[in-house]
Amino acid sequence: MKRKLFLFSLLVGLLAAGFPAVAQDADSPEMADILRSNGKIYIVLITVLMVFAGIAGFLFFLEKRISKLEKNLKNK
Amino acid sequence: MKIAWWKWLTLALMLYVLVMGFLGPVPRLHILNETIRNLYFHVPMWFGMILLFATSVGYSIHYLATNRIESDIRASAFTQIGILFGFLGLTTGMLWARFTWGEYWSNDPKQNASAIALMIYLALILLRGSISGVRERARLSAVYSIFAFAVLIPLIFILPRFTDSLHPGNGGNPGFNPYDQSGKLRPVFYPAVFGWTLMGVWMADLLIRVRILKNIQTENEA
Repeated sequence: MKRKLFLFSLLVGLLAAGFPAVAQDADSPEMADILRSNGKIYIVLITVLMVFAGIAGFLFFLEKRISKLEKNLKNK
Repeated sequence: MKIAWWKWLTLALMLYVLVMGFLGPVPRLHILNETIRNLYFHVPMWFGMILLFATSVGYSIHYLATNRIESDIRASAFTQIGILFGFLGLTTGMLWARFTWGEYWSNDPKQNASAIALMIYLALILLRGSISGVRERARLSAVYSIFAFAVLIPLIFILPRFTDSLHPGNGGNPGFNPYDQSGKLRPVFYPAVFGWTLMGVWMADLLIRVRILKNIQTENEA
């Protein structure tokens, strides 16, 4: 379980590191650079990740419950 | 607790998509601005819906060929999660349209067609709910599901291309390629489609397992 989690975070990190930095032009369309320079976009990202963690946690909870029921019914 | 390997893959893909979806580089486009990131969240709903409905058709055919009730359970679960994805696609699309095309609903051919397609699938749920015989319900909904998918494809992929549409890839335009000349979107978009679809499969899987258990239980009682 711990090994799996480690490999999994390694994978995410490697994928994220493969992206080049954003280039900027003087007269390019307006983007949310300020949010990112403030670092506040990370707050939104963390919020989304927390919500997703909650959803994933719920899926695992259901997995556990259903596996238990499946085991009980098979033993009958 | 043992969990299928593809569920770990789902989590990895989703984490990658959420992180890169917000922080990854995107092309700088007028009007769209940062909403181009919706490509990773709105469009995969439709791709996911199509793939879930296609899976449902597979199980429907399998039911008609074998009469195994488990295939009916699988087909109906995939249809239901597909409808959920469709509604999420519709509502997220309306929000995106409000701030780029100016209106929640512009009677865009693709908007109308996908609304009709969802109505057809909602009718399948109604049909299932109105039949009490298990075998009859399974047979009718298998036939209906194949029919609905056959209508869905021209509605979403063919008819909107004959007219002018606000959606990219219609009225003779290519897909999202002109928006992604630097190839920044694809490395997140394709994993997004794959990850969100697997999320749908996971949800369907849980639904199926509960219903199979319920089925065993009622058979034991009878």
